[in-house]
Amino acid sequence: MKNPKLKAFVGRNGSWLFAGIGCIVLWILMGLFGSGISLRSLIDNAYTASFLAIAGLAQMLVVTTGRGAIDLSIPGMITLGAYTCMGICNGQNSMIVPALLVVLLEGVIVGTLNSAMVIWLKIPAIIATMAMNYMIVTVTMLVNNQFNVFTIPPILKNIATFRIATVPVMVVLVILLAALIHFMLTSTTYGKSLLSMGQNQEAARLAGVKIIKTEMITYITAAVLAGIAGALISARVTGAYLGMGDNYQMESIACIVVGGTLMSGGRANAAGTLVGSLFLYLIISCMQLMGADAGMQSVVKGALIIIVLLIGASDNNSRREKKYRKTVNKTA
Amino acid sequence: MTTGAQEKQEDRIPLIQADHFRKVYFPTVAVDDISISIYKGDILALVGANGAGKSTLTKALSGVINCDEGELYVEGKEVDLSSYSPLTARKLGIRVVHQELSLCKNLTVYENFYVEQPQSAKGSNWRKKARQMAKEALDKVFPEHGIDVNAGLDKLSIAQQQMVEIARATCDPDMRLMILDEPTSSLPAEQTGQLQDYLMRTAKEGMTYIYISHRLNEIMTIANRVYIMQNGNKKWEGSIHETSEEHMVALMGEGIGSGEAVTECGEYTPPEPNEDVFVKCDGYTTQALHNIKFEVYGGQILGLTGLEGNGQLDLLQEIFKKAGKQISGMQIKGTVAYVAGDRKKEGIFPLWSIADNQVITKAAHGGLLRHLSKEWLEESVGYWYDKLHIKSDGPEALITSLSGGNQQKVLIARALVADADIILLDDPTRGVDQPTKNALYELFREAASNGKLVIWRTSDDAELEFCTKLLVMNSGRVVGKFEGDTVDHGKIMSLSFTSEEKKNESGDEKRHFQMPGFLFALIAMIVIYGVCATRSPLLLSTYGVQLMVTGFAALVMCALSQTFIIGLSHVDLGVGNFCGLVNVLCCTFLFDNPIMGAVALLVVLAAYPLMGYVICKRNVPAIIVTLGASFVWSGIALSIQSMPGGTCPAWIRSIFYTNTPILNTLCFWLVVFLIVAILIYRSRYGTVLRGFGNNENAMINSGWSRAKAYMSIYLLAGIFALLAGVCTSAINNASDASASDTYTMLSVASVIIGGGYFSGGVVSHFGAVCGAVSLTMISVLLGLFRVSTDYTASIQGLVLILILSLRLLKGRRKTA
Repeated sequence: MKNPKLKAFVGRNGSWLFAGIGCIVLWILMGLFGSGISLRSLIDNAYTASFLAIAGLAQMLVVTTGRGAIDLSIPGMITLGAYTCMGICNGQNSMIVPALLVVLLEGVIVGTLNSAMVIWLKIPAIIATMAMNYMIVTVTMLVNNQFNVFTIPPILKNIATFRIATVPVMVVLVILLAALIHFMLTSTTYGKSLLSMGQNQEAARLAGVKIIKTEMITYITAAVLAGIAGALISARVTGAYLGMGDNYQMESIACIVVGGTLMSGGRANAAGTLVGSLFLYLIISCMQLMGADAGMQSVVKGALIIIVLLIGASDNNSRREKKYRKTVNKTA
Repeated sequence: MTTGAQEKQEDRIPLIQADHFRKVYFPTVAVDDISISIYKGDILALVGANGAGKSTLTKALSGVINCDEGELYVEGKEVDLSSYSPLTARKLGIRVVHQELSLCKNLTVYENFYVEQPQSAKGSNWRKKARQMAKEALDKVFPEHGIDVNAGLDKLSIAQQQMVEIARATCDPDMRLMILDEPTSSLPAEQTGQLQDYLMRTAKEGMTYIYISHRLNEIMTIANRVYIMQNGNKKWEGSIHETSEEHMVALMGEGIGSGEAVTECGEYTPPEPNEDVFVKCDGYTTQALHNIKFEVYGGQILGLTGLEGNGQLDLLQEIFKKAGKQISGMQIKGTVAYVAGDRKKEGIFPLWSIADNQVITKAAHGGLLRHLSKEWLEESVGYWYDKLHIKSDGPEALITSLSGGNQQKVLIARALVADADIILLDDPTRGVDQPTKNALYELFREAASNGKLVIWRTSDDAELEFCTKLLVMNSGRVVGKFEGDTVDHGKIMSLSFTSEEKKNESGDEKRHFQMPGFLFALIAMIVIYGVCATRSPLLLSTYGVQLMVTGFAALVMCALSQTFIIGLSHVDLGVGNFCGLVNVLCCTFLFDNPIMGAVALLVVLAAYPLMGYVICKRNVPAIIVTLGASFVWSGIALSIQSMPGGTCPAWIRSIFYTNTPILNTLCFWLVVFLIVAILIYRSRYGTVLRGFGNNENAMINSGWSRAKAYMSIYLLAGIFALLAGVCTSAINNASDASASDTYTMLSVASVIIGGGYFSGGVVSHFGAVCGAVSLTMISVLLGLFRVSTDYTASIQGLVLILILSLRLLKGRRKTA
């Protein structure tokens, strides 16, 4: 590669470019095993993946705060979002806006509590959000007892399932959301603050970054996104049920790893998260076409996550960085 | 200067002879051309101002760094420097007591002795031997030290830890030369005296020492030879009788601040003080600072000097933290920007370009949603980027592609771009070449002449010439103030080196009772079980106990497995799924064909050490590897058995789940497994494994293999996870691929509740078991109180947060 800019780009995005190529390979494979290569099959997978992508984007933000932070309350928030939305709407279009406002409010509360535990009680994020997840589950069950959660307001259903000339609205919305988050990360004070504190919190503090504010906003945004994802998922699967978010726990982490987000923080990649979630669903579809059962699909998925990680670790960029982190940890 | 004693030395072969050592940290020459000979029985004092190259020389002699040029002879035999490492240095008998401690804080005192000197505690009863070794070494150097060799290292004061570090080095039987780098910096007066006595006594017996200290009176007491370094070169060498404190201070002060740099940069007249920007301290006092008084205004360059670690950095940090706040004793007007001294640790953002690094402080101002356009970025970067002549492929290049000096320019540009009124500089020219330094000096002057206030902590005494005002600090106090051209290097040296009488703190302050880490979990378990028992006395019967054990057995085993992993500062996100997979294998393959089943179990078990190997060799995060593995485990389990079913082999049930006259065998097994886990961790190699969880580098330097340690820990974790699956099979007499999934996160929670930490290798198997039991019993408790099961999860979460918050309070009290 002669072009240094291209080289830098590939260096920065190596792991998800690889996943992107993987997506194309899988798509072609799918065509070979199935009914020929068609754009339709890709779009269908993108549609399924778009729900995961929202959860993945939420997870990506929290992971980027660094020091091994992971938001384990995302599945709880997805389920709660679904219940709240279904319960309040009760099939009426007119109630969608109030319902979404309540979801928003819940997200703000959950995110604030999460970040408060991390910042002031100094509980590791992974434990704090896990405890939060338990509490959300309880709230969800209480909601469950109060409301009818199996009638979907038509507009929400349309958003979740409507297609414009074979392109699902959801896919477009998720791409727009990713674009917005990409913009936030690259071109706003918030993004610079988040990415800097994820790389080195002490350096960020000394550079004058408002760490507490940034961290709180990140947890809140993640919780709100997860809640909205829940509302949309429930519209797609026509109803809310307990444990509906559980699958998103590990998959939201998997898709950002594939997407080139650093688990140690400081580097996020919104586009990569989209590719990562598509990649995970293409594997499943491909395996289904090949006649593999759910178990085999999971095995291949797990193996690929590790392989992508090992490939990512081999590029010089991250090696240099690891060396750097080691010295930081040593001195810290 | 040849004395009789020295003539005698000339005839002898030096113990260690270093010839023409040179080490360059581009662009700084840390050690220029040093030749030094140390004879048997010498106590050689190595003296020099900050940055003279003492530490670099020490590191080169002990193999921590490889020098660029030079030869090393030990008793006249040349040493191959290309393969010289701390380990080979130790084999040659060279040992260093570093300023930073290389102890494992999660081990006890005698265990720290053991992991570094395993050969001295061979044979049976190594604990007794190690204890004895520790006690003897401590008694030998520090009589009446008051250190309990059984105490955990984290329970000792810094002074006591330093005593342990010194004593540990002395008990190496192969040691011939010991290098002590500022050994007394945190020792109380009594122990300092004891150490000096010990050194002098053993030197007479033939041991050799290099002693580095800023305390010249100490040197006068113990050393027989003095070697003074300046700017990486020898300044003076001779017998102690030929020198004195005044002489040494004079020699160190000579030749610095010759005005070379200043003449190059020209004269500077400070502008009229800018009254809109100021820092005023009037008796400001913190833990590290005492009664600080000074006033500075915009337009001035305030230098903070003195020996490193005497409060200059604390003062700088306080000004940064307190800016914009109203506090007594310090008034600050104006915005501040901080230029970090330790670039790698607290300066650069390594994933970012030069441009991003340069604008972060400016970008961080204002509302979080402020849009930072491309034009804004270019505009912010351009001016200073050009002005500072940063050598690079353009502002979009990665900051890590720059040399140290250019990185430093970017960091200074960061403060200048932000246009802050007060610029705090923490030794910004460390490791920067002279032309760049001159450019930076110009910048500081320009900033000051524009009405900004520059506060500059420097370790390079030549730079004091650039300051319009100077504070000399010693032990957190301002001991000297200079203004204008009155800088007197000799005076500064003597002010800095004057050590006031050492406070005679007793070595064993702060020794109050320490709660064991598992205490909260134990109390929680007893309380929950007790409350349950008041509701249902049945729980106190053997039947009740057995019923409960059946409920928490699998989680307890997973928690034991997770304890090993978290003890290494990793997390296993696949333990629950692994347990499920083993459950399925037991109830299908093992039931159908014992041999095939056993092989299958061994194959999946082998995956654990393999994961450990991959994590070690490829340096990948354990959390992702185990996450990926969790998909593989649950996938294989689902492929083998898509619906719950199967039967547990009868022999497993008869071993693990049979009623005996007293209790079910499962209860016994759990106790056995717990004891085995604890014993493994307390064994010789288990102690080493714990050491790896806390201070990996110290363990590697002591000669232990990292790969072997990782694989052992993962294998242990795998075995316990496997047993968890076996127990599940025995209890349920059937298998369900996904029934154990929740154990993954619950086991992590159990370990943390049980007093474990995610980093530092602090874990407790017993605590983890208590945690696992508590978490399981909460649901029983709520059931007994007829609380709807809806609340179970939430109360589990609340208990988790409550216990961890209590722990935080406990931790606060400890640090307070």
